[in-house]
Amino acid sequence: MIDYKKYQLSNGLKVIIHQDHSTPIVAVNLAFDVGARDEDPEMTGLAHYFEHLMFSGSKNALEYDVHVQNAGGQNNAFTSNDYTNYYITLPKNNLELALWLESDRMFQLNLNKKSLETQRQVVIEEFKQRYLNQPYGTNLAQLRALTYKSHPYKWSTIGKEISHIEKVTLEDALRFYKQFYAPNNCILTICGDVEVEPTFELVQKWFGTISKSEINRPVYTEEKKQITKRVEEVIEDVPLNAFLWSFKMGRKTDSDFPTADLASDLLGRDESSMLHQKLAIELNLVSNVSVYLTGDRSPGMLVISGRLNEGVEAVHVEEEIWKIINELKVNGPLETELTKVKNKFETAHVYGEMSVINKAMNLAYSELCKDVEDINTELVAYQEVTSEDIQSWVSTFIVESNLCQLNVNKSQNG
Amino acid sequence: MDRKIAPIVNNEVELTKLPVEKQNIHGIEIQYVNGGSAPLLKLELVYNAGSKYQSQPLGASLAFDILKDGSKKLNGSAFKETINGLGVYYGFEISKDFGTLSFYVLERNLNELLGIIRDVISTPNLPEKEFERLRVKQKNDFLIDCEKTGFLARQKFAEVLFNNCEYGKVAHAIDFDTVSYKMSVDFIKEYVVEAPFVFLVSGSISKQSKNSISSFVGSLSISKSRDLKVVSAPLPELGVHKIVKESEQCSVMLGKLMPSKTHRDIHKISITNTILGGYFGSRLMQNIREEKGWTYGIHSSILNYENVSSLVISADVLKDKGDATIEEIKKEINTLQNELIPQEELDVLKNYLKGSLLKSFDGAFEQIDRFFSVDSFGLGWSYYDQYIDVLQQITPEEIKKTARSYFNWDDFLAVKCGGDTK
Repeated sequence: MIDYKKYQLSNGLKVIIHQDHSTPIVAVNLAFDVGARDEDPEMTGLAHYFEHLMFSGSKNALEYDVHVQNAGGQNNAFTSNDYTNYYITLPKNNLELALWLESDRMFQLNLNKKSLETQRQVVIEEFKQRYLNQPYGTNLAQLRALTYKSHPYKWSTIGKEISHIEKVTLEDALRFYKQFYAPNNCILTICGDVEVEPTFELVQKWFGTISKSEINRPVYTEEKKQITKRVEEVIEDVPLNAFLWSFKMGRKTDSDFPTADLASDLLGRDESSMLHQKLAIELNLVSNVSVYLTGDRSPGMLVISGRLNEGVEAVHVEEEIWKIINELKVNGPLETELTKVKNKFETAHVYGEMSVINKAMNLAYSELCKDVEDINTELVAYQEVTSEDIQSWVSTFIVESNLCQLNVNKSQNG
Repeated sequence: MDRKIAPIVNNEVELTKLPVEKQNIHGIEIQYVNGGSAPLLKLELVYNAGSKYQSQPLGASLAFDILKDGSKKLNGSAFKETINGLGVYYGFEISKDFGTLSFYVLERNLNELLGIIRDVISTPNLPEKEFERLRVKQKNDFLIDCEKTGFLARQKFAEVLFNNCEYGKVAHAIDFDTVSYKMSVDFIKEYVVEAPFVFLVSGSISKQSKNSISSFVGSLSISKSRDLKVVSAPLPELGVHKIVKESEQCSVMLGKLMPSKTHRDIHKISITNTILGGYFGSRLMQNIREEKGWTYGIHSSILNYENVSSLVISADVLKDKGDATIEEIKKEINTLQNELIPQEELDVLKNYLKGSLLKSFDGAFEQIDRFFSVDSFGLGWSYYDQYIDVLQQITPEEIKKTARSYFNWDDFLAVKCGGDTK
């Protein structure tokens, strides 16, 4: 249970403050409601590239990072398809410095040619280091493209291709900044050993005068319902054949999300999961297999992926996966299995409430998705899921007509 | 409100160290760090069973992998169902020095977990069939890793830096075929079963939990002593070692041996390393990433093993910038040795490091890590007090001197992998 106080400034900035007396560290988190899904299809990767540009300094704080370091702080950021998140942790006495820095770069970022060019190169190297230069590194992007035909989830946050990043101009970056980096598009959370009212006054002092922007968000085209299974074969220079399956599902905020999450845990969260037990241990068909949800704000995916042992036929693995899924549809999980995944969720939940930075991120994300209070009802929602709920959810979503299947085949000379 | 004026920064840092309570029960040392209020405990059983104890590569890592099959009493899928059913997150892992079983457990499930752990370390199941499956799995993972330039560079780096030493014995494809079931079983029998360990317990520890833990330890039968293996001295193979691989980037690693963690100048060395490549504002990060855009990141760190220490610099860079990166690293080291660090840069660094230290002490789970990482070298909490003292007092002259004494370019070796075209 996290106690917090929620405010909204007249310029639209949402502020959430949570007191935690147990730590000398304060966490400041800013979640901006802009992600890869808000990009122009011809300029993908911009949201993430722009995240790098946010460290270019601002009018009064030319060297953002140096100010943070000088205050004994650490900072970083990440971009997803749904949003962009910035965070600082620092000794609690220096909270105001963080507010000054963050408000200054929201107000008057020092976008410049030098930073644009250097970060372009850095982002391209990141693209290579994390995706292009990794075995299986581009498979998830391929699965997205197979799964989504209209919705902007069809590309990854790093971007569809390097050429999109190469063509971003200073004007493009500026336009993006003006539109999305405004108080009415941001949630600010502060967690630590702070007094709530005075902290809110500091927020008002630094952020209160920044004006709103007019946000023209693209309309996210809903995916049409998939009617038949889609299969794509790719050949790559990799040591083992692999598979990635997606099933389209609902949003993170849908009431059936806890059911979906537990269903994916039952199927493939850890070594005791159904797919791992059967495919990896009992039948020795795969080297590894796992299941997870993307947990997105627009309708997302359940992803099953794995790598085949040498000499194993892909169809054999497919049959076994379907056997397990079908059994889950017919019989539902055992009570002990369901309790198991709920307990694991609870441990992770308790752990997540142990550090101020986790809390700051989770509060912001929860508010961004729908309502910050969901963070406090989540555990109960998971505990209430029944075996029948799982059965019915799996029967609705994990069906062949809703499957997109990417088969990664190793090249003969590989 | 005037935006031109930055709020005043306060750099006084007061490190609150939680008390560490030690208890010794028939050769097993328990270390408790009690703090926080969440009903979650972290347990770690640290054995002297790292890879340096194995007779052949993979022996130790496969041994710890098959340990996950449980005990004679509760094994295979039943073991995995039960331990996961308690909501426990666990990992059985080896480093060069230690083999560690770690667990995050809700307090209410502690007793049940302790029973399971007792059975695993007293009468492990270790089935040959599972060994065989894991051998193939590890081989598959290895083959995938071998496609990564960073991995190949790391392997080669360990071999050339720790040449002649147990720390440099890395696995090769052939080892996956020669490693035997018996080797792994013997490893567990020798280094885990009835072997003493250090038991690290952290979190919000109630009196009741403490009683459970001491009676668990008391119930174990221990027949071995906790012997340390001293490794042979490494004889680094200097020079630039090149691995040809077609790839999008070139992985570069540089390094040298360093004085051990107990050396009198260790804090100065650590601070000097941070300036070179230990944080975002470091010379290397600013030069190679922020100025030149050649990489997503470049880092320099000091790694302390039980018997030797090393400095490691690594980066994945533009494919034709491998040599140029090595040149730039040399230049930056040269600058550290010949020019005084500007006072302003040093002040920022000191403030940054104080804040980092404070954060690394945030909570019982963090503090037990900090404590064990000094205690295992025979040092105590005072290590960190000395560090703060050195940090507060260190001068530009001392940094220059440290760079000259311990960052001698002639002692460095380098590995470069990838970026080649067909």
